[in-house]
Formats: sequence, C-alpha cells, structure tokens
Amino acid sequence: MQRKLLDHAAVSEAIKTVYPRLWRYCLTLTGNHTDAQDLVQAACLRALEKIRQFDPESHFDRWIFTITRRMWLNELRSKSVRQGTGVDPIEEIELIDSSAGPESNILGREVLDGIMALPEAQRMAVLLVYAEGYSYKEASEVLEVPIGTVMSRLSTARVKLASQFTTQEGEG
Amino acid sequence: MSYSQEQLTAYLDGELPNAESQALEAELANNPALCVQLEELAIDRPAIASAFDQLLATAPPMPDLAALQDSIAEPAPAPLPVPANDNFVSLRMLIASSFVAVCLGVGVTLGLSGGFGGQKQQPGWIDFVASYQALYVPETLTNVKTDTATLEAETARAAHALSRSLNVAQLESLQGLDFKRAQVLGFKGKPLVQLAFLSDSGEPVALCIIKANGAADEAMAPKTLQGMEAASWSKGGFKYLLIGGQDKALINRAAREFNARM
Repeated sequence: MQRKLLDHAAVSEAIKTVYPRLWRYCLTLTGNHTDAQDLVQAACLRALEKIRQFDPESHFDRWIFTITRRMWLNELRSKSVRQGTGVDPIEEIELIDSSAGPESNILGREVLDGIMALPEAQRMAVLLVYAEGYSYKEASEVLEVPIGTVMSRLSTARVKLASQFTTQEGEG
Repeated sequence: MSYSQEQLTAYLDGELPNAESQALEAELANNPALCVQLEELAIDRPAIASAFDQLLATAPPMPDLAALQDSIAEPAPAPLPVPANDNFVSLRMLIASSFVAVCLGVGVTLGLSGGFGGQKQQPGWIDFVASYQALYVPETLTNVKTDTATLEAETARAAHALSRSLNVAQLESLQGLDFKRAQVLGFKGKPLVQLAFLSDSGEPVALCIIKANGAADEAMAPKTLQGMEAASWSKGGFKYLLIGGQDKALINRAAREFNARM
C-alpha cells in the first residue's frame, strides 16, 4: 500500500497545532530560553523538510518530538555548550497564566524549578508522562529508550520531587 | 513480598498489569511499610501538569512557516487525507491518570465498587476517600510538623486547587480536633482536598472537599464507612466528607461546625 503524504497546508496546520507544546518541550529539553528558541525554529524547519518520512496514520506530536530531541542531542547541544549560550535560564522566564492569579504562578514556579533541577533525561520523562499524558510505551518511543528506562527515570524523579516538596513544606 | 521503586512508580502511574496491581493492593491493606514506600514516591501530578501548562503561554511567536516552506526546494507531494487531529491524551490515559492521582498512597480502593447508600450522584469519590482514610493510623499524623507557616502554605495551596478560600485560623480552632495537614489529591481529574486532623483521643480524622460541579446542596447525613464514623453534605458548590475514628458525637458536632463555617 502506498504511503499517504501530507500537503503543505496540512503540515503547517499540524505544526501550528502542536507548536505551544513543542515550545514547552524545547524549553524543558534545553533548560534555557535562548537554546529553546533556536531549537523550536530548527525543529519546525526540519519537520517541513522531513515530512515525507512522517506517516499520517501515526502521531504528529510524537514524531516531531522525536526529531527535535535527536537534533538537540546530535547537533545543537554541543554547539550551545561551545558558545556558552544559555544566558537566559528557564528560571528567569516569567510565567503568565491569565486564567489564574499570581498565587498560581508562584506555585507553578516552585514546581517547575524542582523539575528543571532534575537531570535532562528525568525531566523529559516527567514532561512526557506527567504533562503530556503519554503512556510509558509512548514516552519510550519518543525518547528512544526501553520502557524500563522510562520507569526508572520516573521513579528517581519521583523520589527527588517528593523529598523536595516535603523539605519545602517543612521550611515554609 | 517486596516491591522495587520502579514497580511502585509503575503502580502509581497506572502502568502495572492488572494482576500485579491487585496483588499490590491486597498487600497494601496489611503492610504499612508498603504504604510508607508509596508515600515516599507521592507527587502532586495535577500541580506538575498545571505548572507545565503555564509554559505553553510563554511560547514566542511561531516562525513563518510559509517562508520556511518556500526555502525548501522540494516540491509539494500530492495532497491526501489529513491525519485525524492528534489527540495525544487518550481517554484511557485520562482515566488512568485521574485514578492514579487518587491512588497516591491509597491503593486498596480498586476492589470497592460504589456500595454506600446515597452516594449515587458522585459515584466513587466517597468510597475512595473512605478507603484512603482507613489506612490512616495515629502515627500517620503524630509526627507531622504543624508550624503555622507550613499549615498556611499548605492550606493556601489547597484553597487554590479548589479556587476558594480556606481559613487556617478556623481550621485550627475546632474543639477536639488538632489541624495537622492540608493535601491536594485528585479524583477523576478534579482536585480533592484533604484536611487532616488528629482528635484529642488520637484518632485521625479528615475533612475532604471536592467541587460539586453544580450539584444541589445536600443536608448533612451521618454514616458509617469502612468502620469509621463519617458525615457528608454539599453546600455552595462543594461536597464535603468528614470521616475518621469511632467517636460519633465528635464527628457529628465537628461536621455541624464545618457546615456552619464553610
């Protein structure tokens, strides 16, 4: 059976739909605003270039997340380290949630700081499973690691987040 | 039987096969150490999801895709059916995640079906809370730190989850109940707040609050759940359940007091 392909309008639409989540994904992956901006641009471009490889029967978000992560690991991360970018860490990003008051932003800030302090592999697992709602299997496909690895990353992350939260409460 | 942290994590995330989940739940009922292990892995998943959601709005403007597309020499492939919009969160995951949220440290509830009379409007949540509360022993709360700042921070978090106010001073001033902790749990995607108290006789008691989603007010009704005294009512857009211990008089009096104050 011949593979179906997307036309340009459909690709644009697909990218547009996933864009805020792609941004969040890049931010979590790179840990800083500057690199996230470069990565999200590069990822959109790469998705347009490689769209023939995308199977419309599958999930666009998982596909673009996978290629974005590969780009970061293989091409952009080393460049970012060499050039010493990352001057604008994620901690500096102002959270804007128009639907809630400033209290919610502060709470969100605390939680995010804890997550961003995790090693990259763990925070990506946390993002995909706890924010994106992916199953372990889906997350393992995007991260290209075995399911058991996703499980152990989440487990380590849970221990750290749980203890951090308790400490914060204790200090409060 | 002992469980690895990975297995317990998979359980909390709803990723353990059914048979294993059930075995673990059976074990939970008789194994306080396992409950402690689960507590050590307990995270506030709704808070994490909502913190991440706040990042969505920080996205810079999207790159000009048309311009990007023009810069790619490749000719457009023949247009063909567009994929179904990618609803990445399946219903199954929603159900699993909400269930898991309620299972933080609970577990035993799976085998229960809503069997408590008069709970049909909100099948389940009272059952879940009762099962959770049944795991509480005095030691669960005796060593919890209760300085005012901590309680205030916890209560603010709980109040925020429910989008309502909660008054620490009021919670601390109840006769016969010592306010120990406020926690945000979740039930079917809705925040469920648990305010934990220790009675003068050392029995753990909890006031649980969940949004009523437009349901009508209901008068206070005393009941016995899982061998514990309890009272439930609905008022002003919220459902309440006060539960714990064997002191019927205390529960009824405290429930009336809460009902009047909240």
